Amino acid sequence: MFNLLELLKDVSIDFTRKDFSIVVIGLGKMGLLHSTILNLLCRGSVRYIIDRSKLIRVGGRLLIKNVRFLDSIERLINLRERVDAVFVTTPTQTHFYIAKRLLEAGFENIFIEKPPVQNLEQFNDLLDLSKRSNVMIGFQKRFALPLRHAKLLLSEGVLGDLRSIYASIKSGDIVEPNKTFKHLGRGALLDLGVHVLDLLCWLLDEKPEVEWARYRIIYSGVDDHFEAVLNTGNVKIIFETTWSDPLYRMPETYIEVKGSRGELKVSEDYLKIRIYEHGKSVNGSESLLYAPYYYQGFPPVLVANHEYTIEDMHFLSVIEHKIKPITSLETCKCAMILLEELYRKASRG
Amino acid sequence: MVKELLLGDNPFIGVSHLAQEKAREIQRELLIERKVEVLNAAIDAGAVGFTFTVHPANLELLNYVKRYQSNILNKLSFYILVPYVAGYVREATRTGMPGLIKKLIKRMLATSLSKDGLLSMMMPTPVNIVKLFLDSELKEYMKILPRNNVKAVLLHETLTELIVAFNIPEIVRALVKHFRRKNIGFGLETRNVLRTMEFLMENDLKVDYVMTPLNPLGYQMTPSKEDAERAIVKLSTWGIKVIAINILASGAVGSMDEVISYLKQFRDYIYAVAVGTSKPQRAIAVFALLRNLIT
Repeated sequence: MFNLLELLKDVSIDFTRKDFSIVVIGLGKMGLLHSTILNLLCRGSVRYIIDRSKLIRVGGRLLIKNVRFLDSIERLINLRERVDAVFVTTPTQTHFYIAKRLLEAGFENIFIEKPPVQNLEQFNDLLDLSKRSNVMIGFQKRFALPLRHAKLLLSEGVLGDLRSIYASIKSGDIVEPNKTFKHLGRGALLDLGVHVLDLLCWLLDEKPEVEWARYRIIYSGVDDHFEAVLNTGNVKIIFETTWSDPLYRMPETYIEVKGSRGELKVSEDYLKIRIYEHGKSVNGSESLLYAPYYYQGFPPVLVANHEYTIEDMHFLSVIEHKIKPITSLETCKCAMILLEELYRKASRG
Repeated sequence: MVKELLLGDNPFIGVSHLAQEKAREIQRELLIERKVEVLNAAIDAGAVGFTFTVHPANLELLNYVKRYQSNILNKLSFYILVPYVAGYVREATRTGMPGLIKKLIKRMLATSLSKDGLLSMMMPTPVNIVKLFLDSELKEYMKILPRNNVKAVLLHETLTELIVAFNIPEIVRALVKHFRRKNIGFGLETRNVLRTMEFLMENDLKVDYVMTPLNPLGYQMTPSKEDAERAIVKLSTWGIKVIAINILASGAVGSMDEVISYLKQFRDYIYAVAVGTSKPQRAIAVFALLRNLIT
């Protein structure tokens, strides 16, 4: 467990004793999730909520007495009060403009939900603007302990020379006609697949090259299903993402890695590893570790999945220790370049 | 002393806290007839209640049971978890929050034709809207279930944690009153039991039930296994009935003996134990062992 968490400098901080002042912009499902976790970790840490919807602001004010509801970032800037961090949990198309304004106004610690922005151009602009701030991206899969375990095993070369990878993330979110995403011009790859692109860059420590890519439009007018073949030298990577598979109740990541000395299968829920003997798979050489193995009495708060709490704990420790976040803009650039290349090379299938 | 053994519904609705992959496999194979077999096996082996989420698959199951084996409904008490949050999360992804709110308002307007509903719509305070929302979620189930057998309505953990995180006691207070007027207990499901306990005590709020994980691994017990155990004891001592869930740590605990001997330490503090399974034989085996907690 310790090894899996050591990168998360001081997640053992007693957050209950800290006095954070946090702003959440956008009280949709991710805004509610982060606010809940933050307030459970550290009572009263969410001090301001900014939402454009009057309904949410009025309802929020009636229900929640210890939070100030504002209608715009400008009001927050004009308040000139201490703000330790801002969470941007609005729809994707607004991330760039909000983050840009926050950076220009000098906010030091900014968390942006994934996908950080719509395209690489916006991403590079943010990167240029963020030299004096800490921007963390909500790629929470990197905080799931089975996936961190897989990273550790791969870094230590346990599987030998890597041969092939299958990587997917699927959900059943869009299974009927939907117009919400059409104006974005991008669909499942941007919204969901980007998690796996980030994981691939992180697990392999390099950006894979795109061999070919193809997408299908089913319900949303944009890519509902996206598949591609990538490679890094000798490693062939098959990648697939969809948000239109009704069998998936929740989004699920699955990565299968085969090497010269063994293979592993990993998701948010488990890690399965098999080590070969004399280059061959044999019975009894397999270990299977489920989530209950990884999360025993940790993390100290549980809302939705464990990785969200670990992610938020990491961001709070970033603020506390003035360190760079694991999912900083710099470390997420690989995923954004890959995303752009995939959209550029993809043909409609 | 443990008073009730409850059958849980997770395998019936495709939920596994061990692995979603596993849950999908089970759900594909789990026909409605098989679910009824599990219900019957659990009853034969000592289960006296069924705790379930307001998920469409459960509505289908209960409708089926009412039609073909209505005697089952009279043999069980019911602990209903509201709302089915995963469904709303998906809806929010599809339409955004405004779309979700519009859909909820439509549904609530349909429900508001009742006396309670009309009163709530005339005074649309956030608390009244929450009451109306939960009533609308429960409406179809209340038509099926014998009224006297509905022991409690439990607020889904996601809403509980939100209420605790933002310290909104007014909602809990109003819901306790609302359901007690209907002779139904009200409870909170939580995976943050220490914080929930503190919230209840600090606000001097007494709900009827708290449903929370309790297992030898400390899985889903926060902020730590020991703190969660202490919170459970304290809640029980304070007069709140504790329902232990996820006792098998999603199947990760080595043996049932280990589970039983662990739970025995808390038998004076637990009111009920819930466990889910997709296999009739497993239901018989598990509930037979759990009976050791009662005797």
